[in-house]
Amino acid sequence: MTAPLLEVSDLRVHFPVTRGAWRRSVGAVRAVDGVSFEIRAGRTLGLVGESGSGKSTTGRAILRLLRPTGGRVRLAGTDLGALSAAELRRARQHMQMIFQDPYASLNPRLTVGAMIREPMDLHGVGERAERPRRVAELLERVGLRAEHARRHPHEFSGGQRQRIGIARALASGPRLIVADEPISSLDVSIQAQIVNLLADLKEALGLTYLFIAHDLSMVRYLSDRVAVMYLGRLVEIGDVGDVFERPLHPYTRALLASVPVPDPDRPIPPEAPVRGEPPDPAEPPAGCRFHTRCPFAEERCRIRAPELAAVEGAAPGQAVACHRAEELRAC
Amino acid sequence: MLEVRDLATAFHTRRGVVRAVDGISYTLRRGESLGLVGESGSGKSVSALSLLGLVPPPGRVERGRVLLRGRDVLAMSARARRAVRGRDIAMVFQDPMTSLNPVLTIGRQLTEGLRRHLGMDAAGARRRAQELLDMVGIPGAHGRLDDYPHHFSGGQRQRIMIAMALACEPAVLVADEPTTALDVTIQAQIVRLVKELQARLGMAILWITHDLALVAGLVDRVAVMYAGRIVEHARVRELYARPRHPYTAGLLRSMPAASGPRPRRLHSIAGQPPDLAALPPGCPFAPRCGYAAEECRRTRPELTPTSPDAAVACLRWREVADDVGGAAGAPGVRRPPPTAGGGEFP
Repeated sequence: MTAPLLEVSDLRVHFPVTRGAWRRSVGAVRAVDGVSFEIRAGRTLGLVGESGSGKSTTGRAILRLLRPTGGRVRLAGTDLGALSAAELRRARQHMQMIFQDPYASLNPRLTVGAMIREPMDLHGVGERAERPRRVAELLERVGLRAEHARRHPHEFSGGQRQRIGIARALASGPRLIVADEPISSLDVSIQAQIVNLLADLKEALGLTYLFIAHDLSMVRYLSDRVAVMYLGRLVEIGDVGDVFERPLHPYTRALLASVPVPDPDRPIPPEAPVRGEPPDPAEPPAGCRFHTRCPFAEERCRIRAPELAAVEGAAPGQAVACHRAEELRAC
Repeated sequence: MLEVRDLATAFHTRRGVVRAVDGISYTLRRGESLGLVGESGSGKSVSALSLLGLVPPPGRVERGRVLLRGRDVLAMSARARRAVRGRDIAMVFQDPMTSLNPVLTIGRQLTEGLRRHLGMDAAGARRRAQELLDMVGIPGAHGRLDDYPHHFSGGQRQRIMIAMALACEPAVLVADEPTTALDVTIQAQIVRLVKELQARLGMAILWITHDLALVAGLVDRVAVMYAGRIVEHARVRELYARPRHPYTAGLLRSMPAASGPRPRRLHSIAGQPPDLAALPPGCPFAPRCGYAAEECRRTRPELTPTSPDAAVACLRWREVADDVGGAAGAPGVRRPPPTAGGGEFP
């Protein structure tokens, strides 16, 4: 078994809530509140959850695009929180991000070639004279052409811009890629192209992905394991096959049951899989954060927050944060 | 109920004339729902705005007729059209904040239509507004008429939009991607709400979306748009079981399932959506189509009936149908469709 490339333990990101002209601190939004998981080298973990779940904040905190409030992130054994600013800059060579919006994440004034070359110059990848050739290789690798290096981002369509974003993320030769909703702003016919490209690149370059997405079908296709977040916490984690076929947490079940099925012969049941809306992350409910919407909630769920733990009789590697997981496994 | 004939809308831009909607026709019967499916730039949303003459400049409805209960909406005076809007036909958009006025209470916005279209008095309209909020599932509806739109979550605003749209019990509801901006669990709630209200009020729905999975369990018929035209329409079962247009077939195949065996590789449609200002001659899908032959690049195919209730705009639809569906009586014959060779970046 390969060692984990990424180890996240008890990661916390709290944003202060301020009020009034003096920006008096009146509390904190616990956007990420004690999240732990690991990803083995060469594997993909899908991180799913709805808006406000903290999945994107988790991705950004791992890459230290924002400073975590607590917890530890280790990349290939190195504690990223213990690094100096200069060391962290060097470490970024090994971890890169693909963003949701290829329009916003590319500098409109630079040529595509200059943009892809930038991380190479920054991290001193290869000989200077070699870099233009490497830019051309990367463009071809992501399905564009070498001569596209001379053009500007606005000359490309959304799908092509996402390919440019991917080429730029690959330029420093990273081992870990955090892909934050990389397909959700793209047209349906283009999404499959990009997902296939990500799968090919992983295969060819031995990459490790944290794939953050709300599209569960795409997560199922691309990931080895999947983690489900709700209001800043992981509620379930496990191998994709296990979680999708036998979800244990009531929220995971509701989420999966909410995905529309492209089959006219499967009528939509009259009852929605889950009632209500997620509570305000600034004032999460006590106890289990899902208890306000959970059909199975009982007294203890309102009082004490369940820990993420293995469940008797469930698949190995599947863990769930639910007091009633064992009872519910049977039904 | 609603009959759209040869509707065409164009935008006159510096880059040239963009024919966003290029002659589409469909009929919506009483109580029926039609899914209008397409990607960005397909013309699906512009066609919805065109129904009521709401296209923003430099766009203009160039031709066509929109018959609502037999009266041509586009030929009406602006005043008559305003009277029709809300009372006979109502719209719900993707982003409720574009339709809700942020500085007016939702009570004021809900009662306005009731008073104007139905001539209700202030107290009656307020009572009805509360009922409407109840009906769309706003918790504690009674205390919330004096709240402003920003007091509500995204899902609740969409519910309020639906309440406003349904206030006068219109015969036709046009729902333009009403759940696209919402989370999937909230989408599931809104979809059920609209379905239930449709059954209760008997209205016809034009459901506009990019999501073929979403409309599968929701509509009676589907029309697929590409580059401003309807390229295929059929009853929903027939369309999913036996798509006849290569674009429809490709879209259906590129959706990974949330259960069942995991495919080794996703089917994808090659190339990019077309540039409407520079459409190629012939079929606009030809550059991305594995079936495209020489004649497809010369003539743009017309929408041609394939059965009494279905039509397709493809010269080679018989081959497509045989490949993906297995012709009736030949189950299990599934040939992978050809993929467009090379030409991703022509």
